[in-house]
Amino acid sequence: MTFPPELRPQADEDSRPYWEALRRRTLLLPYCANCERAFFYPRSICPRCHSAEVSWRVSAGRGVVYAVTVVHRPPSKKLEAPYSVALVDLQDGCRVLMRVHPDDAGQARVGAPAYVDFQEIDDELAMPVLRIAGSAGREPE
Amino acid sequence: VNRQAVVIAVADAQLANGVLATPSTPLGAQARVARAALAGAGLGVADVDGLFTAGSWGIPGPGQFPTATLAEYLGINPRYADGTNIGGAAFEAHLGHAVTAIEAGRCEVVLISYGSTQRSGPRTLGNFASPAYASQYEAPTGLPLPVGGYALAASRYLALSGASRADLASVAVAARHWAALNPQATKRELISVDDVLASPPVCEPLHVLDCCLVTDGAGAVVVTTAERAADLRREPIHVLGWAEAQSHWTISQMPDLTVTGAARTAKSALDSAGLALADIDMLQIYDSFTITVLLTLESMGLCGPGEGGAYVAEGNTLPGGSLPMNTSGGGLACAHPGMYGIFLLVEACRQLWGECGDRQVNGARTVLVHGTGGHLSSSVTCVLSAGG
Repeated sequence: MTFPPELRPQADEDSRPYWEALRRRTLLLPYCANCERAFFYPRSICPRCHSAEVSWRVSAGRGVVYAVTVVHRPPSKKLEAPYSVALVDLQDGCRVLMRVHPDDAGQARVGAPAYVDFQEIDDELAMPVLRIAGSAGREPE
Repeated sequence: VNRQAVVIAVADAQLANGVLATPSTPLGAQARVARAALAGAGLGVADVDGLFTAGSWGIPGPGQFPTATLAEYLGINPRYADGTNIGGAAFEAHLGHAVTAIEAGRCEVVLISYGSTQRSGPRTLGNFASPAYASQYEAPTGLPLPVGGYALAASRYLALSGASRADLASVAVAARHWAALNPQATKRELISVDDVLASPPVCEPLHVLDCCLVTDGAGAVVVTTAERAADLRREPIHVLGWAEAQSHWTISQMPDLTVTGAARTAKSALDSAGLALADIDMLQIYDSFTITVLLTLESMGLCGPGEGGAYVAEGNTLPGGSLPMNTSGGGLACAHPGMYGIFLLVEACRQLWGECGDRQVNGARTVLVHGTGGHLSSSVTCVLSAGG
């Protein structure tokens, strides 16, 4: 399946390290030295305390499903429905929207423990994808 | 000089099966409703010196500058303009801002205007999901907007509150009861909870009948000073209080998906009006989706968490109920031209003027209007009253 070009992320000065890390199968989160916590999405100030002391930290990619929807009417004709999209509350202290791995969609319920895996879209783009912990005893590759 | 700001006229465009009965561009439709509204108050387009509008037509292009483009099209030179765009609640914000501008002496006659041909003309809401800036993290997931954001909120609401899809459905069922009384409404046939449950899924747990209509539409609201209104044809409608809030734009940034900005704005608007919820005779609540209404009713404190569906299902908001709500049929059953907020104001004023025919609520003197925009992102409450 080709990724819809109209949905391809437009990386910028705030986000480039995030997208580059995903291609190395790493979830890199912006981190506020003042709050001592990660935040999302990447930006030049901390949205909690407005400190500019912002750096990057590698996330363990563990969390809990906060909300989830099964999409039946995709925003692009190039996407094949249904598929699930979830908000995950990461242990790092922030919330991220991700596609749910198709094998785990049935187990993706509010409150389910989850972890982040990675999907290589092509040579230029990788996306985080959410797996549900213990759903089939799988671990990331 | 009494500079207190009052609403003196409203108008909207007639639709046929959800499209403009007179085929128009978004600008042409706005010009027609502006003329109609102003004429109804004994004013003309040339009297407008404050112009307030928002829209998603003509983007990219002249629609990026909607106040300038609309002023030029109308042939006016406003000395005050406000293009605040916070989604569908923009027009409740415009009313509040217009009150502020008029009372500060910056303008005398404000036109608040909206027009859309999203049903009959080119679709422009696609840029909602352009994968740039904050949207670069969310658009690639394939979450359709705005419905996907509301669906995520509904999933959390159902999981935590103990409410069911039937509770959501009660809002759509109630909307049809009002629409059945409104000859201008697009969907006038009554439906059941089972009809909503059985309609095709869009973004679970939201199904087709949980979602607002996709129609054309145009609306206008005219605001001026109480002094000027005294010489005009219409009974003035007073803005007793208003408040606005923006908690986020993208859905991952919403602090709690089950509590909207209505928690702040309803209380603040009522406080400034010197009123309590118990003093309100009627609600006009933005109903982009069924979940929008339940979260709004609960956030403003009318119902406890998870109790909004039962409140609606018991008939409180229906014709003859204790607190009539969305008396035109709302975005779910009357019309929803992309941004609906101006039509909440239009219906509220018509009810206060007693112009609503079969759906008229007798004795309604105080109306709470609440707009919700974006992905539960913005909230604006206005408290309107006839007679002052």
